[in-house]
Formats: sequence, C-alpha cells, structure tokens
Amino acid sequence: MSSIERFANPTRFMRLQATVQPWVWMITLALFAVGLFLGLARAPADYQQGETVRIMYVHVPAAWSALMVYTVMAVASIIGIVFRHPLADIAAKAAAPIGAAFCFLALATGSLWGKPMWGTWWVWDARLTSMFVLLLLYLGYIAIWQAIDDPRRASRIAAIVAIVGFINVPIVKFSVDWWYSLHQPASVFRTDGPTIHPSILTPLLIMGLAYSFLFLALHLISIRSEIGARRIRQTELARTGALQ
Amino acid sequence: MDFSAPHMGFVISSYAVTIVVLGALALWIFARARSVAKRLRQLDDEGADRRRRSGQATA
Repeated sequence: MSSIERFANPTRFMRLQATVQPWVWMITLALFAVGLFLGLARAPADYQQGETVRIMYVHVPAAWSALMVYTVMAVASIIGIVFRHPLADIAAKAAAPIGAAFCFLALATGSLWGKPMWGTWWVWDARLTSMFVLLLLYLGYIAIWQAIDDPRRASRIAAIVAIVGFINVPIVKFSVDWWYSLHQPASVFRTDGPTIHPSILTPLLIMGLAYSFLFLALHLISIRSEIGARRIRQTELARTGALQ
Repeated sequence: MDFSAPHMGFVISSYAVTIVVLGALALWIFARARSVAKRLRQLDDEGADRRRRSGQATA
C-alpha cells in the first residue's frame, strides 16, 4: 500500500499531473489521428453492413470506455472505503461525468447503427437494457454527490452505490451470451481470439486506446479541479469559522 | 469512404454526436479547472494580503 499512498498524496499528484498531462494529450491526439485515418480512409466497408460499419469505430470504444470507467470508479470506491484515502474518493467522483458521457455516446451511436441495420432505434434486449441501467447508475452516482452537502457522507453513500452497481458491469459484458439478444455476441475479447479481420480490428483497437487516453487526460484534469475545489471549500469554511 | 453509399446520414450523425458530446465534456472540464484555479489564486492573494497586514500591525 505504501507505493499507492506515495502517489495518492494530493500534493504529489498535482506535481505528477502537471508533468504527464502534456504527454497524455499528445498521445491522445496521435491515437485519434491514426485511428480515424485508418478507420475512415483505409479500412474497407463491410460486405454486409457497407459503410455503416464505420459507426463501430466510435460506438464500440465508447461502450468499452463506459465499462472501464465504471470499473475505475468501483475500484477507487473500494480503496476509499477500506483505506479512507481522500484521493480515491476524488478519483471516483471525477470519473463519473466522463463515464456517463461515454455511456450516453455508446447508446446514441448504437441507436444510430441499429436503425439502418436492425430497422429500429431501440429494443429492450439484455445488452441495450443493461447498458441503459449503467447510464442510470452513472446519473444516480452524480446525483448523490450533488444532493448531499457533506462530502464525507456523500463519498460514503456514492461509494456504496458504485460498488453495488458494479454487478451490472459483467451483466453488460456477458448479456449477449447469457440471454437471447438482438445485439451481436462479442467479436474482439473472446477466449478463441477476435473474429474481425485485421483491416477493421486494427483501427478499432487504436480508437479504443484513443478513448482510454482521452479518459486519462480528462480524468487527470478533473481530479486536479476536485482537489482545488476541496481546498477552496476548506479555506472558506475556516474563514467563516474565524469570523464567527 | 463512399459518401454516396446508403445510410451515410447515420454514419455522419454518429461522428457528429460524438464530436459534440466529447467537445462539450472537454469544454466543461476545462472551464471548471480554470474557475477553480482562478479562485485558488484569489484566496492565495487574499491570504498573502492578510498576512502582510497582520505583520505590519505587529511591527
């Protein structure tokens, strides 16, 4: 735990964040440039889906990222509850709006793909419904932080919601295997290897990395802002106390 | 990419909604970071002023 504590010190985090932030942005932009070039200009149209397959390069990474960010929130919440480390609570809180945006994008772009391919914008099947539940979990988590003034109480309740809600992550992942679903089964992360041709798989994986680095870039800034916001709150409370 | 292919409106809409949502998210995060940094600077300046005044009063 000592190395986690060393890096999780807020002041040390601020120094580390300032150093790595420009590099994270450069890697993010480079990955998006390469991923979009390969996905839009080089990858072929699918023999069945035609050009509509290109929606996959923004839809699938958004869905992966929504699941990854919720996992980050759940792990940070466990660390926050078990070790009472303030930076863990801050990391979980800062991740939520980013994850909610990714989840919304997965649903919106999935709907835009579903209409021409399935003939409908939406069906209440297992994958789509569990993904919608994930969005509700994100919004509920954000609402808890907004509704409760005391940060310690808010962090405790929000952490419990994040940890309990994590049960939905494997449900989203395995919903296409456990229940009959209109959504196609997993075609990248499978025990017998991906079933997608490399010409389409390569840009998809690069876009997945680009979304992950975008999350890292935005998350680092959000954590820094949240640390600052807590310092402002403490200073203002101390001044109010000094005046009374 | 063939822009005359069927359903291209759905493809373009997907990329447009992605750009709008991620752009709005990034702008919101940058704006918050800027406002927090500005308030921290103000508090630092006010604290420095107060320390200076209390130093002069003691002298």
